[in-house]
Amino acid sequence: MTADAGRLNRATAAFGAAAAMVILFNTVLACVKDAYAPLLRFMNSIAGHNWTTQGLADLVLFFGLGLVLMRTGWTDKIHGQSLASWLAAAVVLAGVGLAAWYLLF
Amino acid sequence: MSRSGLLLCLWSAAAWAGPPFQTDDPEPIDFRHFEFYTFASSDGTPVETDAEGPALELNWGALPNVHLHIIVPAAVIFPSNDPRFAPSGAGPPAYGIGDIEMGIKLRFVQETKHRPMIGTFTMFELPTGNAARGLGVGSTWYKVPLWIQKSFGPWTTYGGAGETVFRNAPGYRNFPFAGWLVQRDLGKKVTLGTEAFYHGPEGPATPQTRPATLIDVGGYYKFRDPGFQLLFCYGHTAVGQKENYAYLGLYWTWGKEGDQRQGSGPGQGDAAIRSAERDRGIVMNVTASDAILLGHAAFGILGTLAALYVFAEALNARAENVARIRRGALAAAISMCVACVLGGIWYLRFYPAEKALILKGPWPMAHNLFMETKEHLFFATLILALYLPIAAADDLIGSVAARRLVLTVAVLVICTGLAIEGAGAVIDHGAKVALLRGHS
Repeated sequence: MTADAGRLNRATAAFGAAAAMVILFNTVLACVKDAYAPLLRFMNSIAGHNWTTQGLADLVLFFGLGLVLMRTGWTDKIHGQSLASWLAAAVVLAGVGLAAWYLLF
Repeated sequence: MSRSGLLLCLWSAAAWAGPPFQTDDPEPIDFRHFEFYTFASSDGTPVETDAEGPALELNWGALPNVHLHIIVPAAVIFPSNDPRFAPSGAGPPAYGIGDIEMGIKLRFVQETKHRPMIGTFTMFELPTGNAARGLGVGSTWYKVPLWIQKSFGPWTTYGGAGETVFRNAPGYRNFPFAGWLVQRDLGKKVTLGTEAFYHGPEGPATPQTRPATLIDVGGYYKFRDPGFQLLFCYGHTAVGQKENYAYLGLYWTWGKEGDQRQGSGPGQGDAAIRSAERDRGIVMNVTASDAILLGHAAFGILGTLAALYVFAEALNARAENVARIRRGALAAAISMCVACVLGGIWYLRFYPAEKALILKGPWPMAHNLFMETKEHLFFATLILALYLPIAAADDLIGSVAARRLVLTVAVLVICTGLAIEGAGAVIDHGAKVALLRGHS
């Protein structure tokens, strides 16, 4: 594979990394708000329901983080194959983590 | 090549006024109430036909006498390519996201027996549409109107005027608009109205190059009053440049007052309506809850199928199908966004009653495990679906990594989408077995 064949443009790399981070953040937030009532109440107070607040937080973080990462040189180091693996790992962790949390706790 | 820009005369407001008509009204929705519309509309002249659809509109009663408004439209243009109008209306058809509309409606004079209500509905049109392709203006533009309204029993009349303002938008010119409408309730299910609507010349970059006054006829059919309605309107020029206007949409509203009027808890209003309609012998009884839930599931499946399409096309990515891959990715993102909005509305407004039923039944895990996991895992699917068009915009021919990334993201959308659909089926079955075993 040539160097170009493994390269991603900045937006792809930045928003891909942001997506992986937000998926993990979303999983952690779901568990933490469930375990910590003050956080749940706080999230309920922001948008009327904690689920709505969580969705808005995810979207803001995804687009915000993606835009910030685009402006850094860090994304130039990300290889496409690695990013695909991060995303797959994040989704598997999210699915298993959420199911385990609601099954066990 | 000159391109006409998308500049639909769309105005939005409460269910009793505004859509589907072009004239708006000063009446904001009630405090802490919401309105959601999904609609398609078209405005055509001999120069060009512009349409929006599907478009999503949300209004929120953020404060007493104030509501906030947003429309996110998909837009399409069909230039006539008629040499008589050159350089306007030239170029190929185009489709994509249009300019997003945000607005604030403010009522500053209340209606009394002898005095109309008066207010304004200032709009900010964000330049999200591609101006080079004719899908947007290319810079932020504004609508600044003043509206008044008065009701007399089943009759309502409203109207007003304003100015559309452009800044740094070559080919567009500021223009005035004005309209007046009369409508009447015809029984409990139907409201019909007619309006006269005028706009000035909007500039050589628009289809409305000359002024026109249209006569429009339209109304609402109330599946459920006021919760769920069909909106329709059609109009044609009476004076000025030949122009056609059409609107077709669905409307939902909900909020605290509606709960109190229809029942003390979520879902109880629906139950009362279902019971009454059963008594009247109506066999097919589709409520807002049913329509929203089915819409949620249908758009979820559409998003999953669109991701499958992207996967299949990306396996053999080449110059000929890159555009199709990108359109498929955009369709997946839009479908998942619609599924999320509809799912959110249903989850917050209607699910609490079903949840109580499930928890009392023999399958409480349908909520405790499947719904809890589904409602949070969906955000992962949504983020991935939103990311798919970004990844698909990369160089899919020259970069193997970009193509593999698109394939991976598409597979993840498909897998999580199917898992969520499966969880939905389990939740539905949890409610069903609770009902069948007499836990309602």
